[in-house]
Amino acid sequence: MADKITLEVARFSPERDDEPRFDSYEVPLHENWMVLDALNYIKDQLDGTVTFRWSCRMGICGSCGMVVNGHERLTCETLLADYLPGPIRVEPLRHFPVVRDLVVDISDFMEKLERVKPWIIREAGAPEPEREFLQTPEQLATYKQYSLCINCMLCYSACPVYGLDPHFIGPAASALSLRYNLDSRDQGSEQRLDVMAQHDGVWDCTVIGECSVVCPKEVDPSLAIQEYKISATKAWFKNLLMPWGGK
Amino acid sequence: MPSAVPQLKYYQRRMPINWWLGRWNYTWFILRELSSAFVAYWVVVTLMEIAAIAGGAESYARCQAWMAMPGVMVLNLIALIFVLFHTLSWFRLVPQAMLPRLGGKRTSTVMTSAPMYVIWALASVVVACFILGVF
Amino acid sequence: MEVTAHDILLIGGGGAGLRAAIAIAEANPKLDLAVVSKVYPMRSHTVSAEGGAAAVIASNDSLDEHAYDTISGSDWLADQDAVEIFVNNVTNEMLRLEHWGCPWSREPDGRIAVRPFGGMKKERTWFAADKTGFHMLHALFQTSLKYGEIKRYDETFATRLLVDDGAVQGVVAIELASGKIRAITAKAVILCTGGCGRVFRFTTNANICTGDGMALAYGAGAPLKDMEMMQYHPTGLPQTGILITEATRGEGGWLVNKDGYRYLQDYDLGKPSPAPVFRSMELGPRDRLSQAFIKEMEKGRTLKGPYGDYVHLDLRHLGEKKIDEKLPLVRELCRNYSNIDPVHQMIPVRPVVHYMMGGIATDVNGATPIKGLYAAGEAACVSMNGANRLGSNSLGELLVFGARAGAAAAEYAAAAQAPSSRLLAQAADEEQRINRDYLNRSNGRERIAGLREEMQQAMEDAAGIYRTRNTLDEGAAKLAQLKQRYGAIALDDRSLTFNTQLTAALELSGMLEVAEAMIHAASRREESRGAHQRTDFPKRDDQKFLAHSMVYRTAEGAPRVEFAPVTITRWPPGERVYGR
Repeated sequence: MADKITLEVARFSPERDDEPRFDSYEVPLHENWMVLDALNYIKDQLDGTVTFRWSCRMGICGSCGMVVNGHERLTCETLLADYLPGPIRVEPLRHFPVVRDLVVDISDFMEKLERVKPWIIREAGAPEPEREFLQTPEQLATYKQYSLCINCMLCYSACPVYGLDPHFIGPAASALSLRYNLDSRDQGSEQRLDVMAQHDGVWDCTVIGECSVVCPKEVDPSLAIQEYKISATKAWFKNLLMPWGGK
Repeated sequence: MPSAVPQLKYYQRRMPINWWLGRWNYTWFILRELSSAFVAYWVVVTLMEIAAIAGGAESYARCQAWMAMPGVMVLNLIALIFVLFHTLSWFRLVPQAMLPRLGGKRTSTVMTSAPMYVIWALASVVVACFILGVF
Repeated sequence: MEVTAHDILLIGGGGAGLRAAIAIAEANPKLDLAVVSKVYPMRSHTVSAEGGAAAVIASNDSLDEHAYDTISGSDWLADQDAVEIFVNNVTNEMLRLEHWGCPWSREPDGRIAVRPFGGMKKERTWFAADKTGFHMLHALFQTSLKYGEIKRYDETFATRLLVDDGAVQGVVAIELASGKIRAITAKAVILCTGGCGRVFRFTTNANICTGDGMALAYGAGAPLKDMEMMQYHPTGLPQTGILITEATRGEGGWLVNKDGYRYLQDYDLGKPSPAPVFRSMELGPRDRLSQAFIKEMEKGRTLKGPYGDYVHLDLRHLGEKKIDEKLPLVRELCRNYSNIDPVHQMIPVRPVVHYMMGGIATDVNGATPIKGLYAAGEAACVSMNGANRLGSNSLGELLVFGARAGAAAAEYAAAAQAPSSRLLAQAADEEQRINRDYLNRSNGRERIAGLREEMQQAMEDAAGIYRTRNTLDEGAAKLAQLKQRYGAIALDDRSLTFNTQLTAALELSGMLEVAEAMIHAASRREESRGAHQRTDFPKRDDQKFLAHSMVYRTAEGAPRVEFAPVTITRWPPGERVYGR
């Protein structure tokens, strides 16, 4: 096996650059090293100005999402050796403004995360059990996969609709919204519908499906959005036929 | 509520006009959407044929002569390919968009797609029988 | 310099910080509170916790038993009033989190499921598959979004506490995106900044676990308690140090040496049986299991690998169904980072630095000896965990003591005076220091990574699972030297925009302080208790050392170590017995 590999890292410093460029670095190729290890090697030993986010290095915190050779990846889970002979092109997530090098501004996502009301909503006066809400394993299974989202935003980077129309609520926010709708303890589906059943809510989605392809946690946000479209349509018909609010 | 971070000199990238050539899945998507145009074309041609038959033997003969022109035949061939592509990509899409639950568990991709292929095959056989004069 | 003012600041947005914030918002919605976190809250290290969170719910279980397990697990160093408060409140806290949407795993009838865990006599560890911390953090963060009163300063790095008239009244912090240095004043500050595993080379901890809050409090004059108590988790993956949860053993996993022998039976941890037995063998406490590994290694019975010695964790007998249902993350981690599938192969594991039992000294309400300064979570030492923490007690601690610190700070802030204007001079000082010593410095020579690696290696050598006078003295000398060399730190990155080299340098400064406190505390505790094992003082000495070490920063050189009594209520010190 080769003992070195080259990384081409996207650089952008607003104080110095008008637009992004690439810098090349040669790093040692240790066994089991991930792209993140290579980036840390560059920062520690070669060029301390290279800037990127990371934390847990085990694929659970969602910090280290980047575009590696054109594909969205968590760099802490992406083996260097898979890209031999190289070079490996590392770029920031698409469709978000670049703050610096590989760091993007995610405030749009954070706003959308909050907008979908991702908390348990109970109707006014609805009783709460003394102890736990009973929730069978089957009930848990209906929303479980949608609760696995680590907010890494690879899906937003992969979604051309979000790229063309930043108003789109997007895959992760939609999956999270559905996660709460499907939770047997929640009674807030209608409230979330106001946000989701908009033209820049789930209806912006044209079922390209790339979000689910890149998701590192198999959340399948595309499925969530289509499920949402069905339930939004059913709700619309119900409101039409039973405007007095039947249950 | 997060405090507003002042909009510093962030770099906004624009999506290039040829974004859909960048990844096979994007290209597939655009072709899939484009194929609907050919489905529309095929519907129009079928309606045209029906109108021609209703207009009598002569008008039908004119229609057939038009359809036999080389340019039209090439166009129809391309349309056929796109319509087949449209159908197969739709079948591929359905289980990605909808996995109904049976008894609490999700149906599998195969269980959701298989009925569509089966019905398509059966319908094709029935239509073929009509065309070949079996019934 | 931009100055903003709030009533209460939470430094750190993990489990403890978010729980405290919600507690304050609910206790007194009129209070203006803000969470200052160097990362977005959902990146906090709470997210990596895997196995579960313990709270009594089974009918055959009792609060006293949970308390006893915790106290004996702590080798009697835990303050028993804190433990009693913990066990009395944790069940309600966890039920509250369930009402907030946490997807706890369930029994077929819909009730919360529990699993066995190390050192616990009964099954009381609630779990959400093996991503408990992830689910708890996301439930807390998403619930916190409901409260409009909770303001957030995301990716804002606190560099210094503002102290006036003996009271903490805010922080100076760097807004990462812009490099702007702000003064954020408050009537009370709660430090929830987590642990400090990154002072060691091989750790389960994320990059962000650098003891920032401990260093801030220490620098402001607060004592750090029981800093010698650093827990080694018995099962981390070699090379990366990634955590393989204790739940693997709770579900029945075995630890075997190179001969396939379940070696724990040689270390007074009971006799092996096919199914897990509470408080026995693989379900013994973490300190004893990690120590057993070292002994096996000394006997030459461990396997040798490119990243050090290791043993095997055997899960094959659990079966694929159980592993996929209860340990899916473990399977994923083994495949991604160890190239093995635990369904068919044994997992290579070795002890790895994991949790700091010690921390900023607080009382049972999270108050430090400094007015206006509170702490909760791993950053604090109440002390609930004493000399050794039982697995699945830390997540509950975040909730119970996060809520209590929040409530206490809310009460204090409602009556406290507004911060003084003298603070602005301190803040301006701090801004000057950052510019002078880091961003605008031209004569630095030491590389951050170099110093950091030397510190981490020094800690591995000096303060491993077994320590002795010589190693500790060498460690202390080395750290003193590193602190001096830090004075010449050099930065490549002078940018103001998202300068993570600057934050790494600041983190290193804090880590050197915290590491030094750890070594000196370890040096002064001349006994072996829990996670602190001295080969030169191999016995527990309740006469002299049934006490908390308290380390105080001094202006010149070595820290000052004192001892403070342990609070004993109903459980007089006894022998720690496992497997019998």
